[in-house]
Amino acid sequence: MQKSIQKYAALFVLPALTCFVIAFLVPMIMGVVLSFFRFTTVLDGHFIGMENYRRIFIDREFTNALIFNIRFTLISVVTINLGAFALALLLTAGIKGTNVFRTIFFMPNLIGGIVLGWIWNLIINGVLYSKGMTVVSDPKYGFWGLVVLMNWQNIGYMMVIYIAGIQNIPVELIEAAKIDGAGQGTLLKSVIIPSIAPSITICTFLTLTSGFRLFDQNLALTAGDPGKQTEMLALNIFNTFYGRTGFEGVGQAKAVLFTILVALIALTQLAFSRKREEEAA
Amino acid sequence: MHAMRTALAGALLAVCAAPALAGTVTVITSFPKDLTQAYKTAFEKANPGITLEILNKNTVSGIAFVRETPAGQRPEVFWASAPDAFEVLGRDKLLAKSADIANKDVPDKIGSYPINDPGGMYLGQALAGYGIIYNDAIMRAYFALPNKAVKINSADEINNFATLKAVVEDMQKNKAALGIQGVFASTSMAAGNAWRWETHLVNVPIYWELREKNIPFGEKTRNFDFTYSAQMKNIFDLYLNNSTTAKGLLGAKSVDDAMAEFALGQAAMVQNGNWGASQILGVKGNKVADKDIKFMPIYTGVKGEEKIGLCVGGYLPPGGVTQFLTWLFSSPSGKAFVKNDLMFITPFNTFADNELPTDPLAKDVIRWMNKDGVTSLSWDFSIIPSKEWKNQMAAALGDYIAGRKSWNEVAAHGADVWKREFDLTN
Repeated sequence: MQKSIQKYAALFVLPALTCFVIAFLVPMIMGVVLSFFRFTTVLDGHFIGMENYRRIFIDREFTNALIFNIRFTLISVVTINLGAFALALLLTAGIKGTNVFRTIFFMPNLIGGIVLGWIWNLIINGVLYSKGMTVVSDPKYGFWGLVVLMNWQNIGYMMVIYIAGIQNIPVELIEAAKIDGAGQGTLLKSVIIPSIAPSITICTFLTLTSGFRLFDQNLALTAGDPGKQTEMLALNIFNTFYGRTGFEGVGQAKAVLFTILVALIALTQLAFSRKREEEAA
Repeated sequence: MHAMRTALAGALLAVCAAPALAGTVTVITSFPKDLTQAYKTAFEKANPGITLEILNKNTVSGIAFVRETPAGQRPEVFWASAPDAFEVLGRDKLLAKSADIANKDVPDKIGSYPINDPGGMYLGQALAGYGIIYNDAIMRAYFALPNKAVKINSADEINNFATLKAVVEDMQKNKAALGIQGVFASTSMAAGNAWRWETHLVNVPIYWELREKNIPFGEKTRNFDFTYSAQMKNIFDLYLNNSTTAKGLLGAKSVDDAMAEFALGQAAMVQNGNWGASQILGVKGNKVADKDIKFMPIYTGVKGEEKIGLCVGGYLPPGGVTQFLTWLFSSPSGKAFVKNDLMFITPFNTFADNELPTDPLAKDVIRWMNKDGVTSLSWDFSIIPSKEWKNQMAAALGDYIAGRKSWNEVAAHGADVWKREFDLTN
């Protein structure tokens, strides 16, 4: 039996491998290769070395998008995780109607990014209208609008992960701590938070990467306006590739830099969190 | 003597570098399906045995489609509303020459504007004009006011920026009496809606600078100094300060919003072209009578602007290429579509006088074209180095409206980015 599984392993792997190669590996390799080409269609281009990478920095668009994106991600990672954790604590405290609230908080996550963007566009414009402004009148409105939107969408999802983490803490552990005289603060600091370290790792990872990969919400809420000042990396790459004639290769080069950047940040964060998890365990 | 600035627009046709498949003609176009479906039905009825396949895509996806389709399967005709698409396709060598099949009876140029691409890559089909569209009923109401501050008595007498400014500012003061929310419709700055400024309005300073530097029409230049930026500021400020809409809200306004304001009588003036007729006449609750929709030139305060008249230009269909195009411009049913559904002005000899357009703006463009002693401004925005330059201008104008940039910074940015984009695209 063992032997025949080994014998046919390759056959069973084949369907998944084919999909992986066609949908991921080949486009990924082509993407990297094309970033060194000037091209109009993916099969028709000529090699120009590092020229596309040089062209990324002929204007400040990419750098501005990067700075905007980093600011946005830092703030939203903190606010989402604090908000989600606070909600998770509340909803595991045995308040009445917990399940209803959990469902309600989770619901925004089920709405698509474009729709979310439009909803918040209406809400924010409705509020700002009385001041004679709109969400695109000033980049700071767009920035905070995106932060609010991102929180609204993600807090519910992260909350579910935190709730799962909190519920996994053995009741005995908490009881023992209480008997030992731990107050609410100590309980939180020394028992709950160390015990849910894996949830913190996964939530930080998810919010960090989705902050950098944000696209549809950005497009629907501000479309980068005013004047690309609220444009994040993904939208900037899209606009470079599809919106600027002759810049397909530059868009591709930006995408390669973007991939490296997000991978680096995410891997660093994972390594850091894992280390803390081990220390806590 | 009245001056009028209009520019060429209309539809352009290009023949893609692909052999026609027998029995099928494929046309790729940005015109909407409800319009082209009528063409298809009528054409196929008139030409049994030929299938007309129309691919309705916006211009950007149309270009992508042609690029990504292998040679031999590409559409035969690319039908777009502006020449930009053909520049891109031409650069990628995706267009075939079609000059030899052009109609010989049509002159090379109308005014200073060549009808067809000098390289023969695309042919014009129709012409259009743009300027400041005004509602003459509101203007008459203003000139009848007992307390009006200007000496002139009709909109026809406005022939320079100083007069326009005096009239507009006094009208704005009397907006309650005139029943309007502002003289000018919203200066639409929403994403993708700033073309009336970054392309059409900017044409004015480009035109004057090129004439001053003796650069002939259509010749590209690396150095655009924005010499006439102050004049552009004149009119742009006039639009902003005498508007239906507060400056802070303009970032969310679209061209459709502006045209609706005009159609509903909330604004007396709007900068747009004769293609906007359908957006006025088609608005539900339209309050503007056909006879009151008129054009005036975009005055900016340049010396001698009183003598500037209409730009006359035209585009010609590549008649011999496909039966479709011959049908479109020579058969009664095809011509009726061009006139009634597209509202194009078609100055070609296949069109009799009674086949000329009947919509008020197109008629007014013709009126300006036939005025004596006026010289038209040409469509010089075709030499803008790239779409990116227009995007940058739109962003800078948005910053100016919000007070984040001074006008001098806007002008300097325009001049700098022009050089950069010229170097990148040439």
